[in-house]
Amino acid sequence: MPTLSHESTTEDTQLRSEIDRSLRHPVMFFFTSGAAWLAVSLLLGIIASAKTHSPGFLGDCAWLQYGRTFPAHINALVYGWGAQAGLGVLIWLMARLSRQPSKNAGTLLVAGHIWNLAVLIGTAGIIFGHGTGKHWMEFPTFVWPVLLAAYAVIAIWSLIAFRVRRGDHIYISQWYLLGAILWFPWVYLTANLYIHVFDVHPLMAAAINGWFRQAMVFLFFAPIAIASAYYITAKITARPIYNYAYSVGGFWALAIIAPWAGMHVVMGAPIPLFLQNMGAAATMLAAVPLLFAGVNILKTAKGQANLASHSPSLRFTVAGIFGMIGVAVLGVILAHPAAARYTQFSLAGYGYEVLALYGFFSMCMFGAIYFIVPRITRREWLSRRLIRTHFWFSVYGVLLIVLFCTLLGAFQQGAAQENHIQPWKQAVMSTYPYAVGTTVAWCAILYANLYFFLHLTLMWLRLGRRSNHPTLLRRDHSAIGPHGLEGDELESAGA
Amino acid sequence: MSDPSTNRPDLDDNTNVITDATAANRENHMFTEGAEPISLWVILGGALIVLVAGGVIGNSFFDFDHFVRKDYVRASAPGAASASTQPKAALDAHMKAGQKAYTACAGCHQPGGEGNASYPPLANSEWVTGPSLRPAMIILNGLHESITVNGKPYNGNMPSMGSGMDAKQLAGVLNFIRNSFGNKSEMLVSLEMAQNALDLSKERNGGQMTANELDADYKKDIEGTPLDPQTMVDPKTLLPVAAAE
Repeated sequence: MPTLSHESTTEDTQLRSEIDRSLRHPVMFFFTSGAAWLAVSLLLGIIASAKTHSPGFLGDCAWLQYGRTFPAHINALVYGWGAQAGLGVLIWLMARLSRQPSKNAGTLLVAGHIWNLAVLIGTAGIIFGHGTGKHWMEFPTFVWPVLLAAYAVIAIWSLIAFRVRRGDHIYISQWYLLGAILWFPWVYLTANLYIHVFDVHPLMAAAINGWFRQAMVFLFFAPIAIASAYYITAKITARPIYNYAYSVGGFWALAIIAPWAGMHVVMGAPIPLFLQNMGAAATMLAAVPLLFAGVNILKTAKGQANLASHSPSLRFTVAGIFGMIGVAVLGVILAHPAAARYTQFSLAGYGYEVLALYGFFSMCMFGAIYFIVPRITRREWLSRRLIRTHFWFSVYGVLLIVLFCTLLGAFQQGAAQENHIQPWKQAVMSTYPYAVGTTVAWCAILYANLYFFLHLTLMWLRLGRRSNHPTLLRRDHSAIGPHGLEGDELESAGA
Repeated sequence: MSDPSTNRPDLDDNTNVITDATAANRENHMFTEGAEPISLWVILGGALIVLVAGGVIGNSFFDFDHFVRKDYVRASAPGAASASTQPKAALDAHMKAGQKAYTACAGCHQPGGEGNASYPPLANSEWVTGPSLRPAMIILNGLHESITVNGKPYNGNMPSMGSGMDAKQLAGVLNFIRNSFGNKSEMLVSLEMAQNALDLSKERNGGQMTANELDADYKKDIEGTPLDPQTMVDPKTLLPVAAAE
């Protein structure tokens, strides 16, 4: 619990609430529309996953086939949910840490609508058969410049907020946010130019595509999630970052290593060898900064198990950090050439992406959203039960998907494919139980996120609780806790 | 919350800024000065990752063969049908079969087909590269008495090589000598042609050939359809396989 020295002064609180107020519309818009896209993506993901084990599911309509629902699912997840949740957290956190209220909420909101429209058109484009077939870049080619322009309009204000920040000290989260702001346009523009505009050899385009996906994870999603985790953990536990020097070192290590990663997806293809080996080695090396950031954050939260079980923000964040360590370890295993032999053409890559996007990034974003939304709406979350459902179904869902896709299914499928005397169909059939399991796990995650979307929408409509007490996930042992009535008890007591 | 200095009306609510922004009000300050030591196992874990990743770079950074099997052909899995059953071009298959059979010839005609003082060369010899029936009859029946090859007379004695020889071996060895040592023939001797030659030799029934008899009766191509060198054939049977397969 905070000691006196941690408590905020009135001026601080005024500034914070001013910042929260200035950003409430764009941030809530990003979160809520992101959550809606997440639900859409999960629905598409379930259809795509079901198609892998029951091809007759939903009949023969062309727009529900795996070849369209799967790219629509992953693109809606990346651009509809991931980027929007990331942008929402990014602009709020940068404004808070730079101590500058936003003066451009209207611009952000307009750009946010354009972003959503572009994602909608892109997803519809994929569903109606105009996808480009480049993983994570399947939107029809006219969509990417629109997304990039909308991004530029949104992110430039965070850059400016950083430039005119109050106080000289740059908090570690600001480093990561600044990195994400600048890396996304670099990665996104480079990949799209090389793949969609320049006349690049198709094989090289596939390698660039692999680099793009890894860079999106390491240089956009991961920095935002780590920034949020450093912030949430330090904020809620009211403790200093365990080792601040290491956190800064981790940032620079990621900045140096991560841009090299990714081209190992085409391991063995006739492109220059050092690209593939560098990609594999960098993906493995990137585990070091992720591991150090993860340990640093967990050490900061250490001994606060009570707090982590009470606070939804901290609980989601800690789960996300465990997801990050999982990403780091899996990266080392899957990128190693010895494993690539089995996993390169299997489900493993998908499992890794799901872990990175959901188990790591999204969990951190949920943590941030549970923290931010009560501040910008000035209402408390309605129900701890909805939050708990969201948490547990998410955790179990993503654990099962990673287990089925990345470990069991992938190595079994890979080994069956290596045995080329058997028909290839047999290799596919050997993953049947895991494919069914993946569908079930996606259903659990969809269940969790339908409640999340509902909860968030109610908060957006300002139907949250008016209360002095946060919605915590557990009751204290005494009937009336040390801080008086809490959470739902306040309502039932008619307060 | 009851601090009078903050009792400023909010813009759209009539409530006090601070009272309404309770979430912001209960926030903690941030501290950044932490400098606790990172435990040893984290350092060791990081070192292990660096070691493994370094292995990937150090081992094989520019070594293509380390990852890619030669010619992109998989080695056969244990118990699998061998890669030698894959169809291949007729020329390659025949040359391979013929090269094996040619070991019986190499003693006299030499591995390079150049011959020696007693035995005539096969390289660049009109008897080999000319009409295909003459070399077939020599192989199947042998040859004695004088023969002039490339303007040089030879008086060797070649025994019959035909006993137990089947169409596959004959076609193989014919195609081999007609396409080795610098020799080159447009079309290959097919199995059908080789069988016809075998039948013809059987009809003749006996004795080594002479150069005169060859020129008189057998200076022509073997009957039958010759084989295009690029036709895909089964390397075991040398029979053409359907292109669609």
